[in-house]
Amino acid sequence: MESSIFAIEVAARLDRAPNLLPVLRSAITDHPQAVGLHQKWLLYKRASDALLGSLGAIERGCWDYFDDHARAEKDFEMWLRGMTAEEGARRQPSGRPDPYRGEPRYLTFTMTFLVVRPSPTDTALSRLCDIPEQHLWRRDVFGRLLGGMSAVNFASVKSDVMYLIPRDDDWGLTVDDLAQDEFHYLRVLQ
Amino acid sequence: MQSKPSQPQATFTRREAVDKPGIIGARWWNESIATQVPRRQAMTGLLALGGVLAAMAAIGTCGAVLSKSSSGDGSPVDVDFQQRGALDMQNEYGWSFGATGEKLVFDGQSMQAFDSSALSQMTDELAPAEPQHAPWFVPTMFQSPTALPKSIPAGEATATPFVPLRDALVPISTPAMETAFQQGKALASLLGDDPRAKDVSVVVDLPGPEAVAFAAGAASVLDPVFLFDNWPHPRGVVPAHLTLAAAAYYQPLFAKAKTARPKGARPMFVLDRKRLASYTDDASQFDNRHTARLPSASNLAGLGTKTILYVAPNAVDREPLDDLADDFLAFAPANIGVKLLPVTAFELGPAAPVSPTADAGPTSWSGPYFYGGSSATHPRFWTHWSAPAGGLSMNEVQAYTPAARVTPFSSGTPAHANAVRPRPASFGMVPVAVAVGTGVILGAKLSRSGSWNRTYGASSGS
Repeated sequence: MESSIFAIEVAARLDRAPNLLPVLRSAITDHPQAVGLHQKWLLYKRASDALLGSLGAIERGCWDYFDDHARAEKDFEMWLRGMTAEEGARRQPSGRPDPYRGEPRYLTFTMTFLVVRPSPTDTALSRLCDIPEQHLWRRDVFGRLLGGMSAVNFASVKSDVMYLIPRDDDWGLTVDDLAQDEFHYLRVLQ
Repeated sequence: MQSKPSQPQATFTRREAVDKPGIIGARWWNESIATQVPRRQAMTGLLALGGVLAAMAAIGTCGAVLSKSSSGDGSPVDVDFQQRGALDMQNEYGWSFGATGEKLVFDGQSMQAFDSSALSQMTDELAPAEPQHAPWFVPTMFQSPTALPKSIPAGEATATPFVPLRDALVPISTPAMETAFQQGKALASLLGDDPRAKDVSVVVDLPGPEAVAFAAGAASVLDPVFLFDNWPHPRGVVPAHLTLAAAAYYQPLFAKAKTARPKGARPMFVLDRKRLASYTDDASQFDNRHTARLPSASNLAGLGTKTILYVAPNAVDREPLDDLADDFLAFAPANIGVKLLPVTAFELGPAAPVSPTADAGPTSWSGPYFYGGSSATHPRFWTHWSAPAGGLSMNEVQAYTPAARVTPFSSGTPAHANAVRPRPASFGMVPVAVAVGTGVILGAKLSRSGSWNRTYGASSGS
């Protein structure tokens, strides 16, 4: 069975979207150990809707779609490693974001799907991700991708990964954190 | 007897997880694919599967076996029913998803000349004129006439050919719309030049066609911001096709008013009162309901709003619907007051002019609809506007203090920007038939052309 991969990660200012962190966290914590297709779809919808509602607070991002089987399997493991190795996560708290003073704090949220190919979901994602190169890093393109994620039918998803940095709001990423090599792939959105 | 798939419900199981202050996340694995894929490797694509299902429908055998069909290698295809977003399905498979070929029913069809090609301009012509109002405009409904399906459900490949909505739509004009239009004009006559209206934002919450007609009547003074977030459907719970047909009727007027209206017009947010309509039968109806997407209190304040004038259907049904309850709770902390105005406060006046009363002052408004029913009472709108709530009848404009309500659509706490609004789990969702394991959407459960419904009927009769 062939695979494709779709992944999206965004970095958003915590102080400009104060409700985003708890909503995204709930999309993870409300997943039971065993989850049905529809419930999973609803939880991803909750996350993507919350991100869409805070699109203006998203400053950086990265997304991928590849329909090459070998690359999809390899990249999925790479995205998974971002979570299991806790790449990028802070080792100590950074303090709560303060909108009036101090430097901003960020969250990153990652969603990755290993998709059965061919399948309607793969077709939909392929069409969704058919973006001209000069527009790859536009904020409205990220909006299109997040809005289009409702087309994902989890019956056609082999495996998925969802993770949030940080879990607690006083462990937010700083500007210096985002400047580290672990986050070099996150591009500033236009 | 309803057929059921014999295989277990496909589920994901959590395999890896991390839960620390700095990061939280998990990975899930689709067990159904892991266990069922070898039996389904012969699946060659959507067309092949669709053909198989069409063949199954033609055979029309019965019993539990009918929840399955044979794929190319003889392995069964199970049908499961899952909930999907109604609008998502219409976007993908067309506005009439599951009811292709069924006709819309229009009351009050207009006999005026109509050029359906103008519908392609609807989104632009009905958009707000004021740039600061544009972010709140919800163009969803006005995009539906020209939208085409992106694909055909795999199980409905032989269904009736798709007809674009613009070819099924006709403008309507009903007596209720004409009344609402005149009531809108009457309100505009009051708000037009009065300094007390300079920081008012109007929210019109009437049944769709009347909401559009009222907005058309007031469009000479107010900048309409439509918030219709659904598409029509032949079996829609919300008769959105009538709202759209009313919009088509008034489209030339809206286009003209947009350019003729003085700059700096106050916003008029327009809602369909039937957006939360209740229903019980998802096997025959299509849940095209939606919730209001009104700007938050802080955003309204940013638009210079100090008072919300909420236009409701009548003196009894005049409170904001449940999906607005949290929004309205947030107005007072933002120093925004609320006035309720039953649209029935505007009544048809007598044919002969009546002298204005001394306390209210003169009016140049010539009707035919007046606040209170005559030119004499028309200026009392502003008297009532400033009066304390006590002592006024329910059919007059008066101050309103929202109360906390906990409902399926409200939490009882003030809404803030980006708030996640409660809503019932199945709200705005439609059941679709899905081939278990492959994820192929076969069609809407309510579809008469889908093989799953035919098999259900056969099994019922066996």
